[in-house]
Amino acid sequence: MSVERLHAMIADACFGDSEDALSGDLAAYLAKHGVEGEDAEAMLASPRRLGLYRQLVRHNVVNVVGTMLEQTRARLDAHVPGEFDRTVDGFLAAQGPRTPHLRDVPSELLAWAAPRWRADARIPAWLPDHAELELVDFTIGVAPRPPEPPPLADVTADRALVFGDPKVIVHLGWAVHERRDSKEPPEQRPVHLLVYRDAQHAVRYLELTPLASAILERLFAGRPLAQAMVEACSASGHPMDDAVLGGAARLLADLGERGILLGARAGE
Amino acid sequence: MSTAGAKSTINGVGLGLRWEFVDELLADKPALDFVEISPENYMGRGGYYDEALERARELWPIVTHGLTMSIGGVDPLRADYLKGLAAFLERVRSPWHSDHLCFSSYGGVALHDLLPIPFKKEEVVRVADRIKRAQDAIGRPLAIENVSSYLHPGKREMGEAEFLARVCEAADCGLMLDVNNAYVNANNFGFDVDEWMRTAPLERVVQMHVAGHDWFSDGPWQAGPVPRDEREKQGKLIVDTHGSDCCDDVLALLERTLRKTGPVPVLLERDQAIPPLAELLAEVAKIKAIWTRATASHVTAA
Repeated sequence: MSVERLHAMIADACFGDSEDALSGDLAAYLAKHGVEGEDAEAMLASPRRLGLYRQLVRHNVVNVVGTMLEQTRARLDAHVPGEFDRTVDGFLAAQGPRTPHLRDVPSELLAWAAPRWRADARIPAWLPDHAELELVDFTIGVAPRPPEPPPLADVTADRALVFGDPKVIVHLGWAVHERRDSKEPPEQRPVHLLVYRDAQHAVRYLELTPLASAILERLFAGRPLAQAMVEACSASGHPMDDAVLGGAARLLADLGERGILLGARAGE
Repeated sequence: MSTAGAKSTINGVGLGLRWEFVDELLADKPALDFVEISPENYMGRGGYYDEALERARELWPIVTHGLTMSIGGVDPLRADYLKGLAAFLERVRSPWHSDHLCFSSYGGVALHDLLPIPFKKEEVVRVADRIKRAQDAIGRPLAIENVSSYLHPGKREMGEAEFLARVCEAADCGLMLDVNNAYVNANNFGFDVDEWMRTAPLERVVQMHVAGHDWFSDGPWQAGPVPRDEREKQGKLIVDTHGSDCCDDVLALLERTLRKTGPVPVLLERDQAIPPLAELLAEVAKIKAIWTRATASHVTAA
């Protein structure tokens, strides 16, 4: 009897679609997994204990997923009662967590569930966006501390800019960041959202225009300011006129006040 | 790298650091001998809790206790996890690291719990080899913990204490002796816990855990009242919930064990139904009184 078969059997008992088998014909379940002879006899002497492991293991996962996606769970179940638990069951049976960090399981679940939710007419179309923002909010809140910034200089057009971390720009099809506590559905429109953590470790949102988002993404990637603006305008089919220059200046000033823009990289 | 005989300035009684009371603990700054953290809760993270960890480091010595090494698993040890763990241990300067003698992943799927491994002769060498490789990878002494279990997977070829002793000897590693887990298993499988302690490799103990537990009734499994007699224990199991105060039996077992081992660090774990901090610290003080009483002769002799 290989130890691997025993491990495989227990893992399947915990996450597999096997609850009925465990509470019914355990001998057949063990045989299906190649657990036979004295090993099977030993396990049949305590027939209900595999079910306890299933209960305990699933509780750990369900608990963290339910905590980190608390709002998503409430909104999904309000539309389709019990669907959140069915989603978790489906994820565990089909794929299961791969990450050794329990806190990262909800992201794995969402990557699996989002396309299924989008294809399900019973589920509001905005729910995947809502779940994505709920997880981004959590992730930014606990992201690793940023390294010390490089030497800084005044912001000029030919320099790359230095920003504080953590931050991310998310692109959504629904304004799920507005009225998050409301039971009303969010407005459907393209949303470009800068999500960042302030000095007090609170997660903040700043909605960006499409052009501002395009510029910032290039700046985050290390492009010098002028190059980022030229590339973003070109990609957006937008003339780089006085309105754009003024808007960019106001955006950078705002980001400086928020503590996101730290300065320009010195020596460039 | 060997954990056997690993000594440290850390001793006495500590408390497992948990999010639920970290703010209050950092504000009150009680005189704890040490705190224990799970690296998985901090690795790759920053923000508020990372800052809290730095503040805790300034107040108390820190030891680390992992959850997901899957040292008894059949999947390959995760090199990325071990690399990150090594860096984290270096940062917090934990004198040793402990994890559980169990498996917690299979086929690339992380089960996020402590699942039992079979106590078979062929397993001793295989598991010991994994411990040695993990210990080398993290660059620190590694101690393995006896886990609570509710079934033995397959036929036993030896008892848990003998298996622990053989694995520790073959790996030349330390033992994180969880006194509550030994008590839980003795009840769940019906063996004499003092006999278990006579067989376990107490000379390799680098740290102990104590915690509370709950009695579960079958059909479906759920927590219930503590049985009053042997008849009420029928059909029930103890589950290692860390969700109640340490019971008198576990504290008495701790005291008997400390008299044998001498002064080793003892850590109180509490993860569910966490009481107000003052109550938790009172339990730490109660355990410290036991620790002081039980180790007095060893301290005097030293």
